[in-house]
Amino acid sequence: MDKQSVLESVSTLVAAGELSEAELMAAYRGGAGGEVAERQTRYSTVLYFIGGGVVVIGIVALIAQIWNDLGSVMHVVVTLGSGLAAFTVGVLLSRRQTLGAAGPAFFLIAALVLPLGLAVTLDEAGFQPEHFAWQSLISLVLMGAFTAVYQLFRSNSLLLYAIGFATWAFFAITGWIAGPNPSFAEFEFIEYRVLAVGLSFLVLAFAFADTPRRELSGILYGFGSMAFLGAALALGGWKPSQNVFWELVFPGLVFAVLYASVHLKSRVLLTAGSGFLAAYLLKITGEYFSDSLGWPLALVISGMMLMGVGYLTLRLKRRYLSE
Amino acid sequence: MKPKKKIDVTLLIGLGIPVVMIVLIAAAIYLPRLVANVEEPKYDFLYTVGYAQGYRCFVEDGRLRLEEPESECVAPGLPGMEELQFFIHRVKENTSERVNFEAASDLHLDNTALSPDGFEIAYGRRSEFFFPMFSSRDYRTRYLRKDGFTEKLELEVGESFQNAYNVTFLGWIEE
Repeated sequence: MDKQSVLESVSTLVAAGELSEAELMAAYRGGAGGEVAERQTRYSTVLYFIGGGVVVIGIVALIAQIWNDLGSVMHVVVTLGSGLAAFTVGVLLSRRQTLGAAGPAFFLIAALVLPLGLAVTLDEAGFQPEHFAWQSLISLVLMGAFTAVYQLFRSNSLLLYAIGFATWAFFAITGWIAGPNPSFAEFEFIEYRVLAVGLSFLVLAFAFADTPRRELSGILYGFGSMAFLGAALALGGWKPSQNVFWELVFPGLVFAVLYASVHLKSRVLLTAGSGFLAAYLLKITGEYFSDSLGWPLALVISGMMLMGVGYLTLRLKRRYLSE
Repeated sequence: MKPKKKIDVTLLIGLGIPVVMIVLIAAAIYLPRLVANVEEPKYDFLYTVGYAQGYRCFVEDGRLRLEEPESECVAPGLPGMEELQFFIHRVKENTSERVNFEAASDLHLDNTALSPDGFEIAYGRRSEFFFPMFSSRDYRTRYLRKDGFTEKLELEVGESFQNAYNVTFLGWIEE
């Protein structure tokens, strides 16, 4: 079979919906050196990113040592300047495919140092960067910058940074709009925003699952399920100021996540779902039965239920998620 | 012909959730009456700002009273602190009008925290952290609040900026 006919067959299968991009890429990777090459690439990527993190720690320690000896202009130069330099190096290195993840590693440095640099610049200019309006501006600028470089290089790490800055922008903008309004001052306001962010992450993870960005799915499923279920559990409150709606809805949400874990073959969702089911059982037992049954008996019942959750998780993992 | 780009509905929903949340919060802030079905507040209220020079100002049997100080108990006012001033806040117009003690003492006042139509005056909140998750009470801003409805009070506080911290509610004005 020659190359042209193989490519035509691939096109036919894709058009018929019988071949996904993920399957095609898996076949490509299998032929292009298999697991060994992939593992080597992964090790070098991890080392690049660890190196980026260590560089950031070094920059912060160095700046902290000499901070008081520097003037306003130098404060901006060492923080914003370092961030911009790292961003520029990231752009230049990302243009050379042979350097692997070196470019994204410099983008990691930029993503960690640039927020500090922009905050220092605003502070030195006489503004108050801790205010929501300025936080909104900083996060939107960084989200725009990282979305732009993502459009150029299509790197998953760049999309992750852009999502991170977008999340920060969401909290800052909503805080800015709410202002000092006391109706939006209660802890519930934070919980509802975390719930929305969690739901958004879960939907984005699902959207990325069958695309070249599928590596982000696991991370987004993990953070999304923890944020979504964590916020829903917190919204339930505690007796006597509990919210009955959220306490009743929560088991449904957990089982929806467990069902989704099986359907989507996601271990992260299964782990989060079982963890929060266990947390919910403990909470409900402590909240409603510790007074009537007494703590020792309530603990025995909770322990039995936790064992049940453990068994359910194991069964689901073995039956549906084992390759 | 250029192939049409397929729109990923799931991606749009994922990106749209935070945007919808922002729009809903903005609607709740800027169009509170649409979100919370609460009738307009009816009761104006009396408040003071400034330093009382040792006078004790209080409401008794629905009337404003001013008790003269014993001279040895009078502490000197702090620099920049203004004398005691009385204001009536008109809730419908959200404006304040300065009145003298004689006019204020003619008013019939209800000095309970809740107005007869169920509104209360609440402090605003502010964030003191870089990451906007935590907040504390803002003693400079006050809101009229009932159920899900809140409206920022534009209180007249005189010349000194310190007066914004020293607003004292005296009572709801009953007709």
